[in-house]
Amino acid sequence: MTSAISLTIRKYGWRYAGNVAFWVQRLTGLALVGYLILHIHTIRDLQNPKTFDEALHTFSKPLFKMGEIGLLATVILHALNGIRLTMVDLGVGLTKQRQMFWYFAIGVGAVLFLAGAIPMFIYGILNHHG
Amino acid sequence: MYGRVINWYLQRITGAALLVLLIMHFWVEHFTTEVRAHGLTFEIIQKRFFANPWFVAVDITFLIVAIYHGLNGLRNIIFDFGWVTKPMRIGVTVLLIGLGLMLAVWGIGAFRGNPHLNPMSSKGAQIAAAR
Repeated sequence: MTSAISLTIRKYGWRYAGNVAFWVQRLTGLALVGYLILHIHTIRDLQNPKTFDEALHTFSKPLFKMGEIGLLATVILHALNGIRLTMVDLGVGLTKQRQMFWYFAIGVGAVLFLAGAIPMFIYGILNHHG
Repeated sequence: MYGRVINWYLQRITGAALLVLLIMHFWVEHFTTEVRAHGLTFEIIQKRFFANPWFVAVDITFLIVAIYHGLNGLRNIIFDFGWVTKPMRIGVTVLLIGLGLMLAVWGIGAFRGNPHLNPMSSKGAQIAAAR
């Protein structure tokens, strides 16, 4: 099982890294544009303090916290892969760009994600009151 | 510089700026002492805006840079598929600029011209004086 997985990664992982990165950047980018529009809609409520606090209360509910954790993953992927893309454009680490996708965008990204998502899950979802 | 080079360059520059602004945004809205104690509330935001005009300046900058980067990225994706040919491209660009301006005006309106966040307005002065 493990060898089958490592064989698959060895066979396709490096070959398709660029293609996977390309789609990751597009899909996360589209999702973030959608979030941006919703977010601007929410800050409009600053004109009515009561409505704004009610909105913040709604967003503290577990369902929205799950969404926020998803947002964190989306932002981290887009940002780290964006840094990788900029480095490639500047000619930094050209020969290592596939490794940079898996180790930097996915690997470092996973560590950053867990560092943020675990406290969010514990304090925002497990210990959620009212 | 050609238009496309400027477009490519600006997408990188705004991306780098967004990285810094987003980390600041995360810090301010989630990790400051007052937010950790009570959660984010309208009152916390209002106090900041009254105390320090830089908050609204940074927020509006962030808003505009994010809208530019997001919609420019969307434009790159649309054109990259190659369905939109030459004469229609200008239409898509104009449409996205229109959407961007609308979002910018909409977002800026949440801060500017909002009596609850402006200490100079009569309502803001009343709220500030009540503290």
